[in-house]
Amino acid sequence: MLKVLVTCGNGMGSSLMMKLKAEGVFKKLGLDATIDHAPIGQAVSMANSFDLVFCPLSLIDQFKDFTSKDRVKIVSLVNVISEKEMEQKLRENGYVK
Amino acid sequence: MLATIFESISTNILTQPAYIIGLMVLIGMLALKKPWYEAISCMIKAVAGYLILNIGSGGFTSTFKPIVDALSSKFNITASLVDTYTLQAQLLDPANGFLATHADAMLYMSAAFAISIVVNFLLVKFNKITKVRTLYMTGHTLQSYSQNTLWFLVLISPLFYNWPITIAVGIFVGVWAGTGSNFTVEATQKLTGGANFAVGHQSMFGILVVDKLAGKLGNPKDSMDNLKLPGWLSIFTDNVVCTTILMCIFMGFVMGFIGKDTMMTFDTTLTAGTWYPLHIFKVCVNFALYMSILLMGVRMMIGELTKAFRGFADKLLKGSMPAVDAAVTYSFAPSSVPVLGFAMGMIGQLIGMAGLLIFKSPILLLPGFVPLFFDNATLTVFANKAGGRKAAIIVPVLNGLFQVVISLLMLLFFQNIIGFHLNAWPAMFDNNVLLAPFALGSKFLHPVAVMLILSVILLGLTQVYYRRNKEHYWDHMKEN
Repeated sequence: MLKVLVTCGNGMGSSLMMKLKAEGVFKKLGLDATIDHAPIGQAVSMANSFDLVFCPLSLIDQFKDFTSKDRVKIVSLVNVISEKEMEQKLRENGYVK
Repeated sequence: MLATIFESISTNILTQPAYIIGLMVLIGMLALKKPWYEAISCMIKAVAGYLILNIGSGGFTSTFKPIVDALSSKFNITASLVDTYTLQAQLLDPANGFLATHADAMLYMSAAFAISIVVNFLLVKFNKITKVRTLYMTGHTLQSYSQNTLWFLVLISPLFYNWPITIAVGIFVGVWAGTGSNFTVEATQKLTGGANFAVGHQSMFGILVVDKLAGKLGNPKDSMDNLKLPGWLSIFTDNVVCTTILMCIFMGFVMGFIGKDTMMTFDTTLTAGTWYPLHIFKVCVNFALYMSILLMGVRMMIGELTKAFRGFADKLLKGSMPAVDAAVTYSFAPSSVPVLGFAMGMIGQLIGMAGLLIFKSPILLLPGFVPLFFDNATLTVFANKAGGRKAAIIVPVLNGLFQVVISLLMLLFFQNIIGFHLNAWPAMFDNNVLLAPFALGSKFLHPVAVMLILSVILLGLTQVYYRRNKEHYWDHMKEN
């Protein structure tokens, strides 16, 4: 089971759309995942209890303290509601076998 | 007998906003044929979300009240914020808000919200006639349109609290959401290089205006790309941090101005032995605290509500375009642009607020996070695309000033003509150009007439807009 967090500035509009889209993508790819959404401030402080974080490219700087040593993988999206881009990023990062 | 049963249902369920929300979610989920356990879990989350929201709004208004009271008793002026959630907190305040005086108002507000979604859906369904292509997906702003319009009407006259007006409000909000988001399609496609989404937020008409005018202010080729903003500005992208800092600066100034002695008579937690600066800091952090609680509640409640109702529309209308939160567009601009919009908007608001002090305004205005950040950042992203860096600087300064001017006008209108002190005006661009004339108009004309006039104007403008953009108007349908 993959624990996924999606985030946006206010944790209100965009991240809710991201969550709905991500649920569709994970289901389509046959990946077992739970998806939560949170505002960016909270997301940064709780990121390490997740496996994967999707965040808008404009907010990626907030995660600059995370390295490859961390458990969590931070992935930025240009179009946060694009299912195509999410799928492509999941493939690039080896989540799809 | 039947009357008693109905009355019992009414006092136990229909006048309990949390259960109304829960029921709406349950019905929506069951209609979507979701498994019963999922429907129940969503219902519980929605009910809990509402109860959390209550704590936030109650705390927020009770923190703000002693300050407003002290100001008005000592200097005979009042204070309000240029903010959306402060207004929502006042509306939902369990002690004195709309729901405290009108126990079944949540039923009306939810009905208007549901009707607006249906109307938006129908506008898209019959897009051959209406030319509306977009489904408004941003639940929390759609809900605030319904809440604000209904509440303002009740403040204007208690006679406007009835089902026919609620239905009219639902239709009006549906037209507002559908046509408004439709106006953002071309500008958003241009910005994103054809990502096939539009903006459904509270700055839709602003995007249209900026997209048309920004080209006259500067050259789009001269974009913001190379600008490096100081790193500390980025802390303002976080809601809690930004609210605390803004509050400490502005509320600190106001509370210092009031003085400890006066404050003590209005705030019982402040005693002679308390250090005043620390007390001010505590109050300011409390604003951010209650704001986060409020947002957490809204997030839970709206998340479930959106899931329950958006599923339908999404499934049934292939080829329509989703209109989403404006922040989705920020990734398509150079990273400094949204923060620049915030900073320039702040300058615009400060000029306006300084003006209020100079001209001895009876209302003191203080900045709030959402209009300052989201409204200005959104308009700046589009201004930079259409008019380059010159436009990206001029537009938010003007908009910041505009936010203050309309806020003052509307707060004066409610205070002096309606006789009610609003804690805030939700100074997002669309509220300034639609909600404001709606409220003013409803004082002098019947609200249904006002809504009819505004709806006809919006639908008419959509036809004009279609004529101007005919060539590529339906392009998104081909790709889907």
